Amino acid sequence: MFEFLTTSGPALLFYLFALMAVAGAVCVVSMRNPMYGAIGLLVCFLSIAALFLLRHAEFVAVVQIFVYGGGIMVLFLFVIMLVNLHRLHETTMLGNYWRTAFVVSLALVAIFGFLFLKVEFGPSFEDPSKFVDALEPGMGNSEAVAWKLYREYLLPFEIASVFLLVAMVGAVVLGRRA
Amino acid sequence: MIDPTEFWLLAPEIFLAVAAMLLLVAGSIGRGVRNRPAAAVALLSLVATALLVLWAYGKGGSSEAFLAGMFVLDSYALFLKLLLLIATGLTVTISGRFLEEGGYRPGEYYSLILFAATGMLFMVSGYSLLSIWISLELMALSSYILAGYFKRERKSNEAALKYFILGALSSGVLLYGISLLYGATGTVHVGELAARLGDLVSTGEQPILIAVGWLLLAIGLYFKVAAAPFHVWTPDVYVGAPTPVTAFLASASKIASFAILIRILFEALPALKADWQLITALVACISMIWGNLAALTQDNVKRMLAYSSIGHAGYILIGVLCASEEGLWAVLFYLLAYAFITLGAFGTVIILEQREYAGETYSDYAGLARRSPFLAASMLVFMVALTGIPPTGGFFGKFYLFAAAVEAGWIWVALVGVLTSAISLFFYFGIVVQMYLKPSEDTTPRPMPAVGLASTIAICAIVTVLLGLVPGPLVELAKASLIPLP
Amino acid sequence: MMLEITTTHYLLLSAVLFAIGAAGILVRRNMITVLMSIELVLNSVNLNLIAFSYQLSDLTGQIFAVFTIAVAAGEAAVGLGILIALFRLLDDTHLDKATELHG
Repeated sequence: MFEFLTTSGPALLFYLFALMAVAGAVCVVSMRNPMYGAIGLLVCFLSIAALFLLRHAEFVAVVQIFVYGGGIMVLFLFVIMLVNLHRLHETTMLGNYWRTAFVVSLALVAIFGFLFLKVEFGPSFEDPSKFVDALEPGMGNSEAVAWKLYREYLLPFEIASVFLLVAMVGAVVLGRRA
Repeated sequence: MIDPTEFWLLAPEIFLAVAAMLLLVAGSIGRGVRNRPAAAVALLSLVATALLVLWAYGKGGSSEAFLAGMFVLDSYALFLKLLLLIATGLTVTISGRFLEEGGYRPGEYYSLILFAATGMLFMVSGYSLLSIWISLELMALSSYILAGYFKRERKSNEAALKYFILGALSSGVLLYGISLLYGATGTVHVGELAARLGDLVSTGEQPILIAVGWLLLAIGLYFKVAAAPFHVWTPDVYVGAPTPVTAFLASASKIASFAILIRILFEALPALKADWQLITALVACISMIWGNLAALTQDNVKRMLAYSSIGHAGYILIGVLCASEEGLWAVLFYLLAYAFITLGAFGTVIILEQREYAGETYSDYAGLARRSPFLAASMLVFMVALTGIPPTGGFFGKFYLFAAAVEAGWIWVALVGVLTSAISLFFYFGIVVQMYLKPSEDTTPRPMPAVGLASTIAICAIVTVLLGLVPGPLVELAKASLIPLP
Repeated sequence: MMLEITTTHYLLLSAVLFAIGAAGILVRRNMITVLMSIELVLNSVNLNLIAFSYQLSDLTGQIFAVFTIAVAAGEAAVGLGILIALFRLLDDTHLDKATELHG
């Protein structure tokens, strides 16, 4: 029993967090009150961060918690509290078809699941240090990401900075009282 | 590794972004800038950027990607960059009246237009799916904000919301496709992706990841170029957005989206040529049929032009699916002609709009020939060109596209194109009939429109006719701006 | 007996999240929920990227994920800005439904 737990620990953690992520996602799309949906979203974000850790993406996991758990979540909560909740039901676009939603998502999962189950991969990396060592020996994950980000991916990084500036301008332009 | 001196070749993009930031700062000091100076600054910086593009191309133009393989400055990118700058410039000149009448701040407006243009310039030069995607997002985000810029107008607001939601969904789909292709090949660099996909396809490895991946990627791109059946956002957004923004979306934004569609299909997915040709043929036919049939039933001119732009996305896709030299230069020719035609047509709509969203129906055009011969004549040119009748650029554009399709053996697609063009005669000439044959209730002559707007329309009309009389020079230019064929 | 987690597990989880998010975008009427569903879709992409990055022992996937997170943040800001502008208009004019555009 203990042996099973120690050897399969990561797998069990995966199932735990995957379950939490899916539960959070279902909560997001099914709750009438967006406040509960936001909490479901938070659970989903944090579980996904944990799943990143299981794949040795430590830096991305931390960014996920900071940006999603800290930034985006607060933004959502602010807006939910700012707008009049009674008016929320009035902003319709395509109607409230939860049955359709259920069928659509089930069909998508079935198609993707059927296809992805057939995908064959070679063995994954066993030793996490090897993965990071691919760049230079003895590097941590954050350092490795930073090296690659600022050397190879400098151009997209710069474009992303302009993108974030535009996002800021947009939020001000649209949110400001006319 | 990146050689820092390579950043000199980004001078046009950097300059444009800095100009946009300066406009932003000027717009937020005190009571902000007035419309005219802001428009002048925007125009001047676009001209300077065009000169810088030429300079950068002369300095380091080649088909080799640089900046660690993220950026390429080939003749294809040069052609499209200049075209995008022209389309953006014409958008700036038709924007003034709307901003003045609506009382919206011009500083942020023009700076967002310039930011969107910066994103477009990066898009057409992107040589990695990552840099292409992030610059696509830069363009899209600026467009969402611009679509909702008329905050006090309900329609503008809803257009922005709808555009945002479907745009975000489409970029999610596109991204999912990229992630699967990355999983199959281990790279997002366009050139390496093509090489590894070639190996994988020939050995038959990872068929599922590749198939699902490229299909989702292509669907995301069809979404962006507004091809049916992925066009659901187009009519509402085009009608609801401020008309200059609509013109911008229908011209510059569409050109940039087509540019990356072609770049990705031709240079990243040549191994899957047969597959994407078939899917593109289907999408092209559905777009042509649906766009033109739906346009028949419209009463609102902006909505008609929206459906017409879906149909025209189909015509342009004909040239893409040929995957031949003729097809590619025909696409470039058509993109240029279409930019002028569509900007001119929307410019005319802007003049006729009395208030922000009034004066958009067919009946508002009744008797226009008598009240304003200049406007009626230019609208006539644009409608003739959209139908594809000589002597206009629209005729040669369609002619080259169909000829390329026939030569590449896609005769049935060309046939659908010809038939739908015949259908389109009805709704384009509906406006002409209104203008020239119907009497108007209001017979007072219209006041001459503002100089900027009038000269923009005149330029568009003249270029449209010129392209129909002497298409040769542009054809030569387009022929010199090709990318390697798949 | 030992349980193993492979890339396929991640792919399936990401497909589930993608499907839930896409369904949420397409059929929910509550705009805040729709914006949250967009975040779900982007997160599912990130799961894919991270899983492949590990599978291929290539850091590009992780870097792409960082960019996705940045874009998600920007989109959330602008999406919520549009929403606030719309709500302000609704409060000012007391119109009942945001369905002036259709079709």
